[in-house]
Amino acid sequence: MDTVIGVCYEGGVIIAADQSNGRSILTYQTNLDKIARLSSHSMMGVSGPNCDLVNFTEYISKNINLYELSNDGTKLSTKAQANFARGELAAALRKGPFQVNVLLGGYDEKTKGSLYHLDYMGTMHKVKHGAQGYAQHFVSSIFDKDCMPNMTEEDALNVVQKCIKEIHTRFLISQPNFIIKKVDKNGVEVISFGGDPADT
Amino acid sequence: MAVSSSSSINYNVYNYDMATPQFTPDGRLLQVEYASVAAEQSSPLLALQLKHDTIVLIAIKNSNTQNRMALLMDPQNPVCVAMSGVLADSVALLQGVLEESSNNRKRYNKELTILQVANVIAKACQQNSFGGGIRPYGSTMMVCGFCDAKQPVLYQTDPSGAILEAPCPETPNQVRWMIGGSQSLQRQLKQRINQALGRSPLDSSMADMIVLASRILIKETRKANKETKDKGAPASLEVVVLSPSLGGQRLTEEQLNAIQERISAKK
Repeated sequence: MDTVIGVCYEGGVIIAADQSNGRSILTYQTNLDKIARLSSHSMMGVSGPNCDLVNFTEYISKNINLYELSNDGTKLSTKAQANFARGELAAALRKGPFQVNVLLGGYDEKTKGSLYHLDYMGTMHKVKHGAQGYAQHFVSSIFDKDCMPNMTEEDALNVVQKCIKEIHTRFLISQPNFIIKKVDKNGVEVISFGGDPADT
Repeated sequence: MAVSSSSSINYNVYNYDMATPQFTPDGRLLQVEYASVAAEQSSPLLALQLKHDTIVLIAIKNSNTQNRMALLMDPQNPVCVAMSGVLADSVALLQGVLEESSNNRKRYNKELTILQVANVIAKACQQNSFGGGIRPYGSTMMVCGFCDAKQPVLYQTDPSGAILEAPCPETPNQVRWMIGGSQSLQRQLKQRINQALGRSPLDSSMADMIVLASRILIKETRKANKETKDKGAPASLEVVVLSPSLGGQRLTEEQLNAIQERISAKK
């Protein structure tokens, strides 16, 4: 039911996620923040049941923080963080799986922006753009048409906004609010949100 | 006699903890200190700092099957672990490093940093210095490689679990650190080698400097061990070169033979 959209551009990554939290026929809230900050320069947009979303993001982000504390402040690269998250998903698969699909984006000095598409089974791919949820069916064609190599931040944001408009037009389930975040050399920053997550 | 041990299994019945590291009245852990002395049984292992960014490790092998220096990780990002002291203990510590670097690779798809490698060794050494029927590791190890800024870094670990960072010498072409051999032998070697390298012409190649240092190492070690027979015979040398451009290279049989020939020729 969740929508997570990610686009990588020259110098960073933009991730957008819907803010609806609901089950069965009921909407509990429309201001949930589904994009978790992992480290100073990485974030993870998650789709799945709220329990696993919270459990998984807290587990991964705190373990990444622990690594930095235990290893003299050594920062884990986005690639390393994605591999760690993938490893945990794979390990949990045959025990008690996390039913989450993830888009992990981050900024590193050398590799600039990078985006990883992970699913609940522990599959991982480095991608230039990606989506999780039913949204995949709606926005993939927009990515194919509008995502160019060497996009600027403005281009990437335009693509994301086009995707959100498409979801609002054509997707059956009501997802009125979206939160959009970017990560670049300055760190993780909120670009816009529909409902203020601070109220949760 | 109530003797407490910090191991989870109680060996008191057997009195195995009679000789394990416990404090002396003047606050020293004698077993751990004695373990450090075990390194003197190995012949000296030199780490030379050449031309600001290259480390060359030279040693005489005591065993003809086991190398004293292990080159780990990919050649572009080399880590060298050098051993001295009880060989079996050193190899066991090295196994721990290999296991931890494999786990790190599996979990994060990332290699361990030099300091992390030193920490793995130091942690194992420290855990055994608690005693409880287990003796400390009698190994003094050296871990060298390059940090992010492509600067050579070098750490020494000892049986207490301490990590010592060996500073970069101010002038290039000097001995940066040494493990193995007695204190007096190390002092002698350092002085002689620094003198010889200092006197050699500025355009000396790395090969020249390796030959110079190896010759002094072999001569002084044999003198210290009072080996009078086989004076001219070639020694079992082991040389590893670490540089940001070459990565980590162990000198081949042919290269080592060439060095031996040059050493014998000068005699």
